[in-house]
Amino acid sequence: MSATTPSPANDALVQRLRVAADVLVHDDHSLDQAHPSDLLSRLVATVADDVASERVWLLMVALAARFPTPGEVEEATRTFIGGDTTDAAIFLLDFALAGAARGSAPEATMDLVTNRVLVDVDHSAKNDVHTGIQQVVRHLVPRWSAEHDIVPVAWTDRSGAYRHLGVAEERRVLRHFGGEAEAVPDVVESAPALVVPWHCVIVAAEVVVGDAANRLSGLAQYSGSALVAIGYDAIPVVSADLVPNGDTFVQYLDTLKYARTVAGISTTAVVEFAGFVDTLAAQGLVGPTVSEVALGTSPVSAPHTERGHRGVAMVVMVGSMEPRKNHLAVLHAAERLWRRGVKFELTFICGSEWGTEIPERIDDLTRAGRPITVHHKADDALVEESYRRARFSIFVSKHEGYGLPIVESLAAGTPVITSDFGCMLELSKAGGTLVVDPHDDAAIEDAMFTLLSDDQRLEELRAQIALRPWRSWDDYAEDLWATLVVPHRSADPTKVS
Amino acid sequence: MMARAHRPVTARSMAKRIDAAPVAVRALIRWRLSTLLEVFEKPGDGTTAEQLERVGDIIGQGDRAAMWLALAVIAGALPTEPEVLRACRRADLDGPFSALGDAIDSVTSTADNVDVIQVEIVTDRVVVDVAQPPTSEAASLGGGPIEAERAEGHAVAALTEQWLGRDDTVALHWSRSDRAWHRAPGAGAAAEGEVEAPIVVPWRCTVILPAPLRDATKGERLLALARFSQNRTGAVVYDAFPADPFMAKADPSAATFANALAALSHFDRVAAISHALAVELGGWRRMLSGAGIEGPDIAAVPLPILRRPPAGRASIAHHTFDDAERSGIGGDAAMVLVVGSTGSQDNFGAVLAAAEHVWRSGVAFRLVLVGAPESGPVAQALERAVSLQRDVRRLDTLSEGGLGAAYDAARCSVFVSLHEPYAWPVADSIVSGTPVITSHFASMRELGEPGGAVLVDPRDDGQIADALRRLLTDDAWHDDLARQAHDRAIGSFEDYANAAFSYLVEGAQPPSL
Repeated sequence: MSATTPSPANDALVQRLRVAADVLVHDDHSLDQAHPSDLLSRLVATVADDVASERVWLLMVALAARFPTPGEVEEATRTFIGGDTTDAAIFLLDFALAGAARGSAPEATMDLVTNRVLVDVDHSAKNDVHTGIQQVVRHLVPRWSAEHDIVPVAWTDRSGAYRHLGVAEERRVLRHFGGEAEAVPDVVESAPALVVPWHCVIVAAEVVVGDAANRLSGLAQYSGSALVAIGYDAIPVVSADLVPNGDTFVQYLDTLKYARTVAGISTTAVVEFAGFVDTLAAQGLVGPTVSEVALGTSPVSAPHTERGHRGVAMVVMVGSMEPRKNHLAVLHAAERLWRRGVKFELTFICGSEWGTEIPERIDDLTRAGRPITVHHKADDALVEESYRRARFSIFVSKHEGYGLPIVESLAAGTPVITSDFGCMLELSKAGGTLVVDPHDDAAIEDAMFTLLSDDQRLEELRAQIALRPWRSWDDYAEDLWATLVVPHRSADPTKVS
Repeated sequence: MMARAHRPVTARSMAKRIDAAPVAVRALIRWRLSTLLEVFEKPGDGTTAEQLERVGDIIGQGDRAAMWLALAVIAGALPTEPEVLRACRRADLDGPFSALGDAIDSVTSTADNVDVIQVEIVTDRVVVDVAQPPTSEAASLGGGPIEAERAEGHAVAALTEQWLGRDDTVALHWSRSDRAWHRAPGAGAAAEGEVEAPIVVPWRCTVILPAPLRDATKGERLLALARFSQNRTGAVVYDAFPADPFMAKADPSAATFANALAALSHFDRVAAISHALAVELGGWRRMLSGAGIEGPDIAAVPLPILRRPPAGRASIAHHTFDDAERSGIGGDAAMVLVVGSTGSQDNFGAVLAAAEHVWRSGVAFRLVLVGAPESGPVAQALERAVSLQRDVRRLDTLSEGGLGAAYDAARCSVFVSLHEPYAWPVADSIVSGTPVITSHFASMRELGEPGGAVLVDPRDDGQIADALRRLLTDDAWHDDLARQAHDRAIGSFEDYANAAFSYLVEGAQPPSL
């Protein structure tokens, strides 16, 4: 730690240590001009005098410019308790040096954020993808931003720590629905300032993965800030036969063990996360409180205008092409109907694909002359238009946390055939849908036939849709704030920034 | 596939394909068709086309169980869920014979080197899936730091032996491809080049698994069996729910284990080896409702405190060190034994920190760590202890006899795991009459609470240190705990195996052992 050679990394280190000293060493202005090594010695001594994990955590962040993992905080704390200050200083320096390979941002200064609300929107900020979770984030965060004091954050390059969003990232998260068509190029600052929470509420608005999940776990357990999360579903561990990437998700669940509150997006999601919390007794942990905050919806203003491109009724299915969404059962039912002479066309809208069996089956049927259209990259407008033009939509998934396509379809005034359990059944209760056992091909065929042939039944469902109560995204944002944030804000008014 | 979709396959056209195959293949397929027909009490003779017509009657009714059996018998492999669904859908669209194409092809395409293996259908029996041959000592010989695996190997072997000792059970083991079951060959599996025993497909049986399911290939086949076939299914479960970072990095990984759980979600009954694990699995079952799955009936059939190896396999029961172990462990200092079980959740770091507190307070003892990691934070902490001249030893593993001898010789043991479906080291320590410091929750509490154990918060180094210091310095307290341990009732593998069998096969709620 050469303090005599000025360099960006050295200046940044000094800045970070001073910021930490402001919090950890009270009222000692003699440190303002202190040499960095003196500053560090003083910080180590002051933490050793009063070893609390949050103080250890903050010192580690300031020194290494990254959030430590839970194991690193535990080790450091043991060194402070068991050794003398020299042991602790040596340990911390080793930790900081090892950081270069572990997501450290040595040239970054840090912005200590005290008693505020951080919202982790990493994926929605960095990617243009706009499926389930990103939609929730892009509805929620602008509303919170307008009503409350929040700090949207993303992870640094190698998921070492939080940082502020760039201009393009802010636009993705805060102004997706604002009609700003012009994309702003992603300008990568070389060393954006770190956002370091101190007695904050951290809202994990997305599924946090990889190293970030482990560092967030350290933050949740030891930093003094409270982690809360939106609970979407636990599909990767419950239906591991239907989806890839279970290991990544396990890392996320491991982090959620240390969350204070999880707001499930449906009754089904609440049951899944509550079941997960039940398992934690085996680890001697209490786990988060799980509450339900149902998502909002955005009804489509344009009227329903049923009309297929080919002069026949169109049936739409929206969802990634993976076994869980049950395309093969729908294709089977559709083929049976086509063979019976029923006239309709089938439109699939999907973001991603997993496996080859579904596309191969679609190819087979298409070559045999069946009217199937597949849209792989559909923007919001095309999705909305497809719902509006469809006679009905079909969403007979084997496992969902919410069932967004059901709500989207209903919002467009279009009836839905969906599954008879879980969140899909929940969403059906207010009308506008037919429910079937998604494992029963014949039941799917019957339901499709009914809606293709029985105009009166279809009209009944449309009438039910018109009577459905709509939950706004404003309500969602407000309820979520009350559930996730309010209970965990510090009661001490002097700390409010 | 295209052609089949458009030109329905008839019994006659399919018979032509079969009859055109080499004579051994043709005979094999006809043999299997006949076996299948007999189960449905239909004549198995006649031309291939006649046989196929009768099979078509069986599978053409939309009965997924019948399709499952037909695919298993014809292909000589347990089908997966997508295979069954694909076949049912083809039968539905283009008639029963188009559904059999893949199964027939799987036999004809291996024409050059096909083993003429008949398929036998076993009905109305209890089928034991012998994942590991019962004679194997592989787990104990392999040794290594994964102590739970070695102990678990004993439990599996004992369960298997007890269950197979009954008149109503049939032992099956997986083929080399993990796609089919054969009759278990008894001692010494089939050597390379030997003709394997017949492939066995259970029908209207109860299939029970004494060993943990940790294989994706077997898992997806057992899932289809549990979901579609007319067999009842039961399994002993040894593993915790995969929401543990240690599992994500472990082998099998959490994802693999989650896949195994997907199969178990369609089972009828699951026996957990501890109450804590049953509670954990109950949480998992609750999570299944989002997928519209009810999940299995779950009961704790808790493994009691057991002396291992089980009775009847006593050749390695002597509690003696080998020379290397004696030089590593032996000596006059009071010895504190820490045997790792499965990895990082063993919490060695906390033990080392606690030990350091005790050494600093002036109490002398020798700390022996078995199976502690060789690198990473624990290894660094160990290095620091060595540099401070602490009396600490690290061993990769111990022989089975050495393990028993180490527990016998130890003043006390420490097992403060953060997550353990069954705490083998706690059981081993108590069996040796050696007091154990262990975690105050879950299976550690279950095993320790009745006596001989000190329960502590494993996340509090100070509590571990206090317990350790007192066990080393307070002779009266130590002796009282040792007496409690000594007085604990030791269970028998036979009772455990019977309780598990009664629950899995007969649905009897298990007694607490």
